[in-house]
Amino acid sequence: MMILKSITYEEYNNQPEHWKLELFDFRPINLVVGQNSAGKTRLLNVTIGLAKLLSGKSKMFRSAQYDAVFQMGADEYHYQLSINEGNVTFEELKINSIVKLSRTSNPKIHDVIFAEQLNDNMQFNTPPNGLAAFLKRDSIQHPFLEQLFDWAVSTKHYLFGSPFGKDHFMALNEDNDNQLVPDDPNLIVQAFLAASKTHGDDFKQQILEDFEKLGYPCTDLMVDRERGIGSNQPINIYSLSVKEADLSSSTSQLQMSQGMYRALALLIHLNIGIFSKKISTLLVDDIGEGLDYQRSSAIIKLLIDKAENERFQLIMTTNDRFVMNSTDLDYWSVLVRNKNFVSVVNEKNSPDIFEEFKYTGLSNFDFFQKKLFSTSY
Amino acid sequence: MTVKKLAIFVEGQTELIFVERLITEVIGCKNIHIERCNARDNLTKIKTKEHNECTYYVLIYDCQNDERVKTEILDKRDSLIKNGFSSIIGLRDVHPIEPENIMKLKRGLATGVPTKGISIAIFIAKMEVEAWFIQEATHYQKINDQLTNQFISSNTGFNPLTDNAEDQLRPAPLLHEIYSLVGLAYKKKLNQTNRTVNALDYEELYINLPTKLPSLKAFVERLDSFFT
Repeated sequence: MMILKSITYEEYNNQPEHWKLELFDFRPINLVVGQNSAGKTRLLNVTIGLAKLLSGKSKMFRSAQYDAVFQMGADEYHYQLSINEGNVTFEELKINSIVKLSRTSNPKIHDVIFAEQLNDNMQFNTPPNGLAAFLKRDSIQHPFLEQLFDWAVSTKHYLFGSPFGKDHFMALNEDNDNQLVPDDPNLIVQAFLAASKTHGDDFKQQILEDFEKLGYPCTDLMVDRERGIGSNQPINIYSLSVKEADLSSSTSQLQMSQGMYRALALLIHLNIGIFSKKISTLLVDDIGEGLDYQRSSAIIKLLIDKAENERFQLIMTTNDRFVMNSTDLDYWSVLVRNKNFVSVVNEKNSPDIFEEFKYTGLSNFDFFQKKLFSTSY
Repeated sequence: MTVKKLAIFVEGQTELIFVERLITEVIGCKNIHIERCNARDNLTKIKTKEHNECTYYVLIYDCQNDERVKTEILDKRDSLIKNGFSSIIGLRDVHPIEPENIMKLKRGLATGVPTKGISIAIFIAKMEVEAWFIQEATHYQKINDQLTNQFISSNTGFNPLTDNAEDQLRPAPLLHEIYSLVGLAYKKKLNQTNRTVNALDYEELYINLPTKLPSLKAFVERLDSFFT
């Protein structure tokens, strides 16, 4: 499994919109905390943005400068990318310090990529408005690009604090035989149906098992006619529905509390990724939002257990007290914004601060709220 | 009559049940009113005015989290002062801090704690409060006849009479191991905690064991000074 080791990002250099994320070191499990507008959501957007560019799923940005390091087994992939006015001005991939792909905007210098079968560099010329790392994919000559592509397509991004598809349903006349999980995470009913067809009952049972661990014991999960919308609709509308263990009737996604629905939606997406073995990095914005302390603790524990057992990288953001108190400080990175510069404080770059805090007897939330990360005792 | 008020902040259900029983057994229940409260109640349960006939009012506050004792004390301090409390005691385990860092923990717990307005002292149980339970050698046979000191010693390597429980890294799992010898469990469930707390000899815990267990000694001395 490839994991993201670090990222540095900058956009609109020397312009009023200039924004810079200083070196962010990732670990296998990460909880990113910070005040509102510190850059938590943006960090995830920057990361998923790179994944979308590398998987050809995104239009070219107007301005971006990435410096990303990945770890694949013993190999270190160092990928750099500069985009200006929608065109690539610099792109380079080094594996263990050996250049495998090099591209500049200087017409006097040839863009080259290493070809494995030829055992030599070959010149190339790709359109400036696309990444060579994507456009030059060739599993025979450039298998190293496949590793980046695989990471990119299996990086998943979910907004836990959003409605998360609670207000998205499925009409009966939609293609119910579709086994392709839609890219849009809001299409939860379609995603659940498609994955159920592919992975069978085990898939549903795993979701129910996980849901119970979060304090939601349910005996069934199904797609059912959504009765909460009204019967005057021209077509039948279907939604997710659960049979709660202590209730005689089922609870539709419309009837669920926002916290309960979000937890269910995340579990469905998470298990789709695990069952299809297409999850390398899981990005979850505002994890735990809307959950009580017990369930916040439970969802953090479940995600960490899954990430460790299924070997995917976990990057979560929060400014929620419950989540902070239930997540080991070892996983923390605190984002600090100074004007348009965002820096990170974590155990790697500030070990003394983290070590000393352990003995204060204070809660993790105090570490954040009282800004104890910014000073030593 | 002026009611003397004490708030004790503990990190979980086990400590709450134990401390309440310890105070009741040792101080008696005649002139004392004990109230339980937890982090969710947010001190709304304090009704000290209704107990003016008592000499002492003790609020035992369950922080419901390992690392929240000091935080909750600092959060609730002002409110307790306003309600006429004169003393706050905190009790938390050393675990998961390593034993070699106990002095750092003690210093850290004392740092940033205001000294004016109300007396605050945070005590530690080394390494867990269950150390005090496993050292109380007379309680085992009240749980099960087979649990003699020799039987426990030969099966677990820990002799409740001669070994020191504060040297144990994880007293709670050891207590579970001991009970497991006779098919019982100690997983901090309510009924299991009650079973142990009901079996403990509080005279032993208050009078004799403190000489062997410095962390227990510090805690009971503080209780003693409040109630005398």
